[in-house]
Amino acid sequence: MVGRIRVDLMSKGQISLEAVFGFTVIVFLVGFMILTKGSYRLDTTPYEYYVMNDILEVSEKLGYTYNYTTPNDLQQIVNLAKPLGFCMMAEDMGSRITTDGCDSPRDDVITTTRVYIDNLGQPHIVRFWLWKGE
Amino acid sequence: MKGQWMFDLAVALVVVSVMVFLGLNLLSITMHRTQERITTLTEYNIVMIAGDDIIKHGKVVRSGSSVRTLHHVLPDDFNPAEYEEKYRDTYNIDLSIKVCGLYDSCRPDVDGICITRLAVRDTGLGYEPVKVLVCGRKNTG
Repeated sequence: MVGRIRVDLMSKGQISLEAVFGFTVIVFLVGFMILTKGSYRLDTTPYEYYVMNDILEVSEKLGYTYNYTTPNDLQQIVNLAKPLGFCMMAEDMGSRITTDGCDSPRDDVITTTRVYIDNLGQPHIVRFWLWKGE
Repeated sequence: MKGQWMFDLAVALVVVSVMVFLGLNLLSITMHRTQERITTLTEYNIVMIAGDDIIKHGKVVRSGSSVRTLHHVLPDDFNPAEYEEKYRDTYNIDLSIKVCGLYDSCRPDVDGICITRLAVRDTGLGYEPVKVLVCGRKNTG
């Protein structure tokens, strides 16, 4: 049968060569489109952890956590994130403080916890969230 | 019948040629993309290492016989050019390191991948927070 070249590809039935060609071309085209459209995104999570650690370390150096008293010290800590292009939120004993001008955390946040001692010698477990600024 | 057979053969040849063309393009794009990703990832990793190097190097404080390093505190004699030279020689990366005030805008000399780290500078009267902008790009020259 000229014009209807058939290749026996499966034991259950036959598939025409045109169908195989057509399918392959479609696969190539779809792959081509995906590859040319898709862009590579770096995973910046390690950098965000570095930034959060920087903020907490620097806030210690600046004395914000020495004889820690909430919430003013927490506000100063979370505001350090703003010039770096990030937003931060701190939670101590149920009260939450966010960087000025930032809303509540997005989904892609990273978190960490620190223990600070207040001026009465009481430990405070403070949880921090950091996310890229709006 | 012979004409039909030749037509089918021509169609098959065109389809095969298109497939080969697309296949080669796909391979070329894939290889280019892979190379691009490797370069970007390498630049990113080295910029991260450089940023950490600066922060962890810190300020060395001597009291009596003991010596300790205050990380996140920039040394008084901090010289970005030393790091730029070191990373150019070791990793073949052009780095641009800028230290700016917390609310100042930093402008890098290199158009590449940038990160900003937070540190403090010892003013003599106390610590002042500063931004350390590290940008890097593979040296292609």
